[in-house]
Amino acid sequence: MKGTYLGEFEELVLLTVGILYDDAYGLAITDEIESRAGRTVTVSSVHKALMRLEQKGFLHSRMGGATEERGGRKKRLFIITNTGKQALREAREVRNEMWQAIPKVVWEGI
Amino acid sequence: MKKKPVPPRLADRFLEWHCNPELLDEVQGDLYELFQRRIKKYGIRRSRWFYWLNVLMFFQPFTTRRKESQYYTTNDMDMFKNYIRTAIRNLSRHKTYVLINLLGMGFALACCIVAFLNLDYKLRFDEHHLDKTTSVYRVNTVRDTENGKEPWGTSPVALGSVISQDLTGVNRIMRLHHSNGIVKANDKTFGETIHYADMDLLKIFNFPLLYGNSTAFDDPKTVVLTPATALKYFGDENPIGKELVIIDQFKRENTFIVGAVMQKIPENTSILFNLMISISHAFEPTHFPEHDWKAEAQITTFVELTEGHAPADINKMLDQYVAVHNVFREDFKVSDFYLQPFKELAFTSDIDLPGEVKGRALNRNAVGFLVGITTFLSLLILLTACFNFTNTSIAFSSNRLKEIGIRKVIGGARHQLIKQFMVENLVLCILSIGIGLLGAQYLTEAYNGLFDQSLDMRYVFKSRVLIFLIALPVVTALFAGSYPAFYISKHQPVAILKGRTKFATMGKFSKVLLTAQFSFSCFAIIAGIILTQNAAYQEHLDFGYDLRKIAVTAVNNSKEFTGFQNAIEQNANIGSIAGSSQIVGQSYEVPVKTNPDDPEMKVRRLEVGSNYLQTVGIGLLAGRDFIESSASDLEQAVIVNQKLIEDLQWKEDPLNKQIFINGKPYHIIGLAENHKELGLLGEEPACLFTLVPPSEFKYLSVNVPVDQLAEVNNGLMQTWFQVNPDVPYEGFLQEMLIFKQLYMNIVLRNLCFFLAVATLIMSAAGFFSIVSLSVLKRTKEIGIRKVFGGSVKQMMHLISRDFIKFILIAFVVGSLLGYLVIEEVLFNKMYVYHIPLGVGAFGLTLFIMLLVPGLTVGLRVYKAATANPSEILRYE
Repeated sequence: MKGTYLGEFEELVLLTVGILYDDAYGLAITDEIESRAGRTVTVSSVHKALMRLEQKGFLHSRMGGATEERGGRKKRLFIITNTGKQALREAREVRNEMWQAIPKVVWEGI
Repeated sequence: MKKKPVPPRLADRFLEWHCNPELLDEVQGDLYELFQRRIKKYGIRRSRWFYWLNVLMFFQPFTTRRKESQYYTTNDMDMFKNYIRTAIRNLSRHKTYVLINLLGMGFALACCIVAFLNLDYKLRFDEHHLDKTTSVYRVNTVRDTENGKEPWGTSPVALGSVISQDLTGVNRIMRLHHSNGIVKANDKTFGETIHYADMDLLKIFNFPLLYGNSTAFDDPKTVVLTPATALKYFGDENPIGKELVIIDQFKRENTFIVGAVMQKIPENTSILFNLMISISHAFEPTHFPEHDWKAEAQITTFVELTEGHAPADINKMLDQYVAVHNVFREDFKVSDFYLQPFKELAFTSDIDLPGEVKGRALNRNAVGFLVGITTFLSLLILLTACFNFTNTSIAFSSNRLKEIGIRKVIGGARHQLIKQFMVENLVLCILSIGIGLLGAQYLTEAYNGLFDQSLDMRYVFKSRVLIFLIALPVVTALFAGSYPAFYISKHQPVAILKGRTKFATMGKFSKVLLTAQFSFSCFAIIAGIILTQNAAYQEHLDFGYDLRKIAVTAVNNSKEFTGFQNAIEQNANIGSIAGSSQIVGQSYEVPVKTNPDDPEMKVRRLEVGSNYLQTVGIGLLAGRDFIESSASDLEQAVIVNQKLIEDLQWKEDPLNKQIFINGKPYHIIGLAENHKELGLLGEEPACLFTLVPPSEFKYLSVNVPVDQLAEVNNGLMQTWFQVNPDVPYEGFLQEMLIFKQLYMNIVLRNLCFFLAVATLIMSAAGFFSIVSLSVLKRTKEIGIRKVFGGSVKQMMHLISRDFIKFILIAFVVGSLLGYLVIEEVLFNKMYVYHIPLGVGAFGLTLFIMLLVPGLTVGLRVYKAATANPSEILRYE
């Protein structure tokens, strides 16, 4: 689909939301990305990305689950919308096609 | 238990401040969770440092607050409809509140309308003529007097004709003059003021006609009447073509034909007349020559300039005549002639106005006392009404705190609440404008009746009044509504719903104003009561003679007198008839002595015919009345009254004693009762009566039973015309002499009464709202007291205790004021005969002052006190 540009970090966040299905909130996503991708990610950048993704319509959020550790404050839980799923699929297809298009020479050498 | 570690407070507050509240919870929660985790790993100091770091990293555009309105949209139209609906519901639920406000404001508005109409009327002087007279000017004279140079509104007769002949730039001149004369028409004769003018005046100045048409103006034999004059002589019939005879001041007699009747000329016009004829008839070769500079007559001269000529040019040309005039009239030095535009005339015509032009022959525009007073009073009443409006607004909005709390919880923003209050107040104000307009109708009529004016309601809609009228209540609504709106919408909903808010208490300012209101009310009531009593007293005052039973006719000689007397003797209704040189009230002063070398005493003298004392009802205590043709009586008889004897300090019987009047000896043949020669303005003076022969009679008086007085008076007029057809009839009722005094009394009384009622109602209304507030504050207290066995009476006592203080203070202040004003101003300066200032009036006032608020409090408290205590306590 044209116009649904998915940045690299945003794609990571989106994928993590999918992994954490229904338990995806700011801090959890940050932890997951750090553990899987091995890079330091700040909570603020994750929140920023989440906001942008929701504005684009790829995520849907609801409030829920206030816990003691959070001092009684609620979390915002995200799930991927259909649009978001579509965007992920397309991104993946484009990647796959491009992977396929690389001649064997690059990987195996002459 | 170990205290839970908390992230740094300052960082938190910073976050809370800058962060969008929508995101705050999740962001803060995440940071908090992180913080707790880190404590376990890194210890508390590092965690706190991390926390700060995180918070600062969050300080980015995407998290900061946006303006509230970006978070939700409001549908303004719908909200407006909701406001109106709520407003109407609220208003219908609190009908008393609405009624008080509406009536108060409406009434105040009506007063303002009347005051404004009055002012407007004065300002619209000459409006009918203004558009036709843009190039019309009056020729004014600048006189050299002892006071310096004075502008006068008249000019020499000769100037008029000279201007029309010699000067270019003048299209035409119109001269206006008036003098006294006698008019005979349709078998009626009256003295009249006759106006003379160049008849073009009527055309140029746009006087619309009722009957006839303007071609008649060119005929020198035409006379033009006003409807009132036409009615006077010709009754209801169309007088066009009828004959009318005028005998002018030089005793010349001429016959005229009625050519036209103007429509009624409103009083706010400079040029008012009863009848008008061509100015050619005014001139008389010796005394009033048309072209002679020597003539003493000064007339009003209007000029109409042709296009392209400015008044300044004409002014220069007029200068040449100054010298000419001064040669002929050395006694009346003139320094300049100049032109004054017509539209300025009205505004320079009164002594109160700047730039007054003296010596005018035109109608005066009396801006003054009446306008000032009505405006002042109206504004005062309006102020009171506005204050009341605010007060009641506050009182009743405290009632609705719960509603406000809920509205806020649901999501109402403060500005929406404010808007809601304003809408409610505006609705009220618009309703009160409506009532004000309605009330103004009646008020205008009453005012017209009272002060003999003719204000017209229709002008309300034509002018700037309407803008003023609409602006004023709207401004008031905004002001009055703003205090409660802003104050009350500030409360936090939690505080409201938990019942922790305090109601608006009555500040010092409110208390002072309320007391002032009541004092003023008290003063007005006292004044009203006393003046009413006074007026009644004066109505029934014994004047010492039959003031209200006498009709008087003026006669010029004894032939007229005897002829008339014979004619009316037949009338069974007429009691007695007598003649005199002066009638009661017209006495003059003479010096009297007992002995030639005694100091003289001034007494009042009336020269009367025989039977006069009996006719006017002055009783004879001793002695006898005059005998008509007795020579000795004419020469030296005098009747004195008791006061005179008192003043002379005689102890013995005065009959047959001698006194000297003006040096001439008279002896006393009779002793009369005292009578109020000076009306209400002076004590009964010492009077004496002397006899005069019928040849010196100037008046004929008749005594008639009161209920037939009007009828007989009319009959007298008819009879006069039969007997003396060529002589104008001048007759009046004896009571007319002091009519003015009585009239003013009644006017003052009405005014005070009006004021009293108005202010009392307003004050009561204000009081009602204050009391409501107080009761509301103490609802719970009342409930508990009742549970413990308090009676309704005790409750009422409890609450009214707060307010008795104010009422008493107001009473004292108001009474003092009333006493001072009435005693000093009215009684000492104006009336000698008045009722004593008794306790009665003050007692009655106190009673009213206690009754009205008492009822008000009683009503309100009763409702609260009789409520089921369980209900009251339950709602908490």
